[in-house]
Amino acid sequence: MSDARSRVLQRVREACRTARVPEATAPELVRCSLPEAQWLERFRGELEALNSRCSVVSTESALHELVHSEIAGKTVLGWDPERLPYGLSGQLDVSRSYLKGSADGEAKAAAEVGLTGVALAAAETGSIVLMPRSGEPRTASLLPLKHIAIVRADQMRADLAQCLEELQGQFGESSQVNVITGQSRSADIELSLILGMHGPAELHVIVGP
Amino acid sequence: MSEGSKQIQLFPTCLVDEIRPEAGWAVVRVLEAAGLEVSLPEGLVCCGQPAYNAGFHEDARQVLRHVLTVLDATEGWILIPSGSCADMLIHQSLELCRDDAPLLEVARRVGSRCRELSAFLDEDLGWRGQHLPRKDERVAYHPSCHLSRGLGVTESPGRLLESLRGIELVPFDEQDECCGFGGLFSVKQSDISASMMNRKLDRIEKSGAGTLVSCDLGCLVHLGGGLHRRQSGIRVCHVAEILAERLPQDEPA
Amino acid sequence: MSAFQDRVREAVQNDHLHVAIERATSALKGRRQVALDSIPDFEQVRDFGRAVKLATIARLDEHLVRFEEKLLQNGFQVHWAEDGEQARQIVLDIARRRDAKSVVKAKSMATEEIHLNAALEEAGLDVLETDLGEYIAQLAGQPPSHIILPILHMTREDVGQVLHDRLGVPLTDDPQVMAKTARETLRAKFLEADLGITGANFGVVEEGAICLVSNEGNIRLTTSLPKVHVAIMGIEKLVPTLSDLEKMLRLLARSATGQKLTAYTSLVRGPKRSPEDEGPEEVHLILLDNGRSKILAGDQAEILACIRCGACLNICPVYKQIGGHAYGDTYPGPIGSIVTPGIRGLKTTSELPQASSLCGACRDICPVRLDIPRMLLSLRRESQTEAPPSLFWRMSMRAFAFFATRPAWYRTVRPIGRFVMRRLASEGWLSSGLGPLGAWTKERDFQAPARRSFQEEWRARQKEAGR
Repeated sequence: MSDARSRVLQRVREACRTARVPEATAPELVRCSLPEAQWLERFRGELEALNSRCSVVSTESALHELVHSEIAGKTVLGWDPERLPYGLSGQLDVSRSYLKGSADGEAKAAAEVGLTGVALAAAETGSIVLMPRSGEPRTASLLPLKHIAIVRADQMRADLAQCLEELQGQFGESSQVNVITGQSRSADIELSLILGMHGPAELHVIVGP
Repeated sequence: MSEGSKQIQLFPTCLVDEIRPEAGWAVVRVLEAAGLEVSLPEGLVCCGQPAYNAGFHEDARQVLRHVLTVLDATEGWILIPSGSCADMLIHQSLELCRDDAPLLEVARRVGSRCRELSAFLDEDLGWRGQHLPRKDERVAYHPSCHLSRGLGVTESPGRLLESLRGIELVPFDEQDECCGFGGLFSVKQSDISASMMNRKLDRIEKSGAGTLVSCDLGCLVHLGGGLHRRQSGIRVCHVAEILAERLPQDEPA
Repeated sequence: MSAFQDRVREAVQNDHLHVAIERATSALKGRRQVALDSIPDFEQVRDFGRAVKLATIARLDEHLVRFEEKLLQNGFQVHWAEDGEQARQIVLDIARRRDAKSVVKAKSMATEEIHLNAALEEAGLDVLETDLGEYIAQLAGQPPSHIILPILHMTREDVGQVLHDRLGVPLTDDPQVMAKTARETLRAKFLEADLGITGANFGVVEEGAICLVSNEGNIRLTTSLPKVHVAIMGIEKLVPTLSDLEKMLRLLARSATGQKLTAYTSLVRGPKRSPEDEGPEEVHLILLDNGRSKILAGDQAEILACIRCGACLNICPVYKQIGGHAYGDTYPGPIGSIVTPGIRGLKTTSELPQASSLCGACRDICPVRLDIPRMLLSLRRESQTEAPPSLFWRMSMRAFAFFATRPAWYRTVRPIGRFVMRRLASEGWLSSGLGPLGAWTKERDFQAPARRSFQEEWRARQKEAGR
């Protein structure tokens, strides 16, 4: 197909020479002006507007407790515990009901709760950014019906632009980067909202101290 | 051109000229009542838009060249009682003669002198009719596409109409949606055109309006034809007519 | 009557279709407005997006070479396809080499454009669409009718019926129940699929990555579970940097569905890296020309900046009358009327650019401000040579140009036309006629010309006044 390559490129090259593409100048865009003091409130508001849940906890032990209550008795598909923030690894019972990325596909698909951290979070849109890599499986935020994401307070940023700017160049080990803004949904039938179409029906983001 | 110029060149448009001359006289009455002097340049027929929209750009360019030549020989504002024809002479003419530098130059010069009636009355003259005799009427205003989207004139017609005593502007659903006229589109794609028209007329009839007003005779010929077929009692008139019919009868024109 | 006119006639008489379209488009209109109100600088972002896309296509050759280089660094296997045939062959070769049996697909207009499903099925593969709308369209044996909402033409009752007929589940009109059926059926298929096929919303040149957005999560599943991922992307879909991408994402989500961001935005950076547990072993990207370089060379190059948000469909009064299927090809609505002739050639598609009243609603709503009416007009001009209009129209336009440039002739001739029209009219109105008048008077009357034209009356009065 190298022939196809050179023919396509040749045609594009010739077209570019004579193309009548209208000219337009890109304006200077203003950066997101959301003050840091409002980030948390905005983040939570955005998630709630998306039918997702956001809890802000002020102590590590409260966070541990909340995570426990969310996963108790459930099969969990999660990050390797030592990768989770706030010393959760010491708190989790990593017995047979805690699956890691290396688990079998069918088993992972049957997990009830996905437990992950995040790379960064964007207040303006209520988004979380995940960079799946070894020990941080991409399916944890996708296969189970419920996704619990732990955000460290210092991972909050004003907007997605800021998140991407900071993470750019650090994607190295991740073959996929996911920006998640609310849980899985569809509006294909008369635009009526369906949650949990293919991915989680519930998203609970817990912001720690 | 000088600010104080009272000379107005009227481009009557072919539809006003042939189908509804009353609208042309209404324009003249309104302008003269405002103290302006109206001239009619010799040799105007059409702006060329029908051919342009149908893809016959060579034919359209010939017509445009003729119109531009006639208008370029005049002075003062060129007043056009149609959003569509005004958009043709102000914007689309530039695209049509983009590869003909000398003609493009003329098109720019003439285009910069062209004004659509409602925008001119409202923005340039600050025309208001609150002193005119009261006449109660429920009016549905149809914003024609070339006026509102092409020329960006969205507020002027409403301001003119609302300044008249007794006029109640009634809104209707999807008011700014196209009525389906589209020039030759109305006959080349008559099924789609008629379907759009019927959707529009249903909504206008539902609004309870007794009068349908627009700044474009194209839309009105189309919508009026639909209303006539429906044997509807809704009266159809050009914006100039509804303004002029409130002027004292002895006003010149 | 042409096939297009047949489809149009059927569609304009289909009240059921209008109900479905009305329900969807009116809901979308409200959502979009809410989303727009939430960003103060939307207009500037639009200008930015337009400038970035136009600048990229103006130097598309350089960007493509650079993009390929970066993709290869990330481990992508890059393929080039001049047309649909080559693209289909590439996919079939990959499937054969991997001994693939089942394929899951995430919504992709490019694969619709090249009729990939039929080719895969013919080769004996089990192909399943996984986007809810596409899945239902597939079950119903219909093509999508909208680029974002594939079954916009169906009411919930229609969907319930399709699921009942094809899957044997109880009849329901509850979208939640329908979705659950689809989720469960499709989840099983995801787990066993050998090949995942997607399109791409953007190619990010400097990142050597493709960006895919979805609300449902089916794209994430398609790009994560099967061992092989094949993406097919039109060569025009590039943006230079991650920062540019972020602006485009904002435009896309707000314009397409009235969201601030789509639920899932995935940057696919190639096959799984060695320490990763998950992800496909192979990721292929097929760069598809299929007429795009020809479009770039022509007068409608601007259309290549389209980000396929579907906003112009939702606002288009013509689309609202005839729905997506009447356009007869993959891309319906205003953009379709430009893209389809570009891809397939004007000879068979010259009616599409005619199917517009040129109202400009599309230009107003387009997030990258594409001048769609200008391009439609330009295509109408090109149709003169590619698909010449009838002799009647050619003669009419010649006559129009002749008389409109010769006022004296016009003044002489027009009383004849006027006389005829007035004779045929009853009380000043015509309600039937031949040719264009017949088309006009099918559903509306035509007001006969005035006894005396405005200009004639004007000259007469001037004479009277002795001026």
